[in-house]
Amino acid sequence: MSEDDRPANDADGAVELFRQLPDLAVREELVERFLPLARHLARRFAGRGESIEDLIQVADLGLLNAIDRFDPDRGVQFTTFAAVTITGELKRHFRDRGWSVRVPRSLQESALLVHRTLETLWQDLGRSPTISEIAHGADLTEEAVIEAMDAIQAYSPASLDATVSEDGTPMSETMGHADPSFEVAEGWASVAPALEKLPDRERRILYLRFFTGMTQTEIAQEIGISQMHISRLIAQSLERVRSEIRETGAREQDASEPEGGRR
Amino acid sequence: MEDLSTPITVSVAAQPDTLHILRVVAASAAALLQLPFDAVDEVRIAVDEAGILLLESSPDADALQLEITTSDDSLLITMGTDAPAAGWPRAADRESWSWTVIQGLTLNPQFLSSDDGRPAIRFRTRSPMKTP
Repeated sequence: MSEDDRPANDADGAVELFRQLPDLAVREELVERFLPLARHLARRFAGRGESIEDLIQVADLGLLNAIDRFDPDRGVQFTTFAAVTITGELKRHFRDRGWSVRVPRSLQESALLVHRTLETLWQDLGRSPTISEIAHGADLTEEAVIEAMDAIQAYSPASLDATVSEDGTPMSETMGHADPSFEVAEGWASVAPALEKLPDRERRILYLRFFTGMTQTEIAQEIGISQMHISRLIAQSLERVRSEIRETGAREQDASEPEGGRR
Repeated sequence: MEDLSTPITVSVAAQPDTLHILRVVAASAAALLQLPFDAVDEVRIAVDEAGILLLESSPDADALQLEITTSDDSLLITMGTDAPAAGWPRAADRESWSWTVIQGLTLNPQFLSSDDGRPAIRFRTRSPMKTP
């Protein structure tokens, strides 16, 4: 089949092959053809505490799942379907593994120490402490503090959402409301749907940081939680928005493929 | 305040799993300037996003480079790759989430391109106590 004759959802030329499944040789050909996609996606998740070999294994498994679950008659291009499936597998892999298996114990200890010292100094100084102040307070080297910063961001317990403030008030009740102007902020219109999916608190934090230009310390004071917590929530929210944009992009690509494009 | 009169330059393999090296180098430079924790934290995020954007845009690159100099009370950070990137910066690069984040966290972010088409991104870190 020439490229021009392919149905709209078959820009990657895979539909014909899928129709020949469950032929094992064809399945192998599909694996081989789309393995570079899986490897590419695996590398996108590298540098977060998991070895690249493990990530490739997870992504390859995601590819096999995608091949087995793909329905060529649904009008979706396989590349799109596979990218969403593989990314989902990679994200699940990170969710399923606790911090403990990703971060060496000594680094966990340093990270907790840095975390505690940061909270204390922040309270005492009324501002964000410098790295050397944290190092001095935690009796660590500055290098160890910087190394621990990566580990702190990698740590994203689900219990964060249930954090309560010191007086026992659930965090969700202390956060105030999302600012309506957030939705119309110039330059962010295209990501508004992704931002909508964030919890109110996270959306408000991004609004304060990116649109009002408040520092993390100022936001922490405004909202009434620690700067460390703000720092972590910003990092997590940015990542969540990124994932959401990626997935929405894949869905929109599916939707833009005309129905009945196949012959 | 420390003065990095000699720029810090680092070159790593153009792969996502080397980005943490650049994050740590940038964070260390920010720490030298006695920037507060939150500013250091955001330098790391901006370097990460710039790295992701550059790696996506120049898939043929072998190396990802980071150069840091000081200017007043902030860092001037330039990151680039060693392979041309077609059409850099594309509309998709300008509209990317990474670029949005970089714009939000840094001052005067710019797309740069060498004569032979190698892509780069340059930005200045915020001075911690100033608002944009």
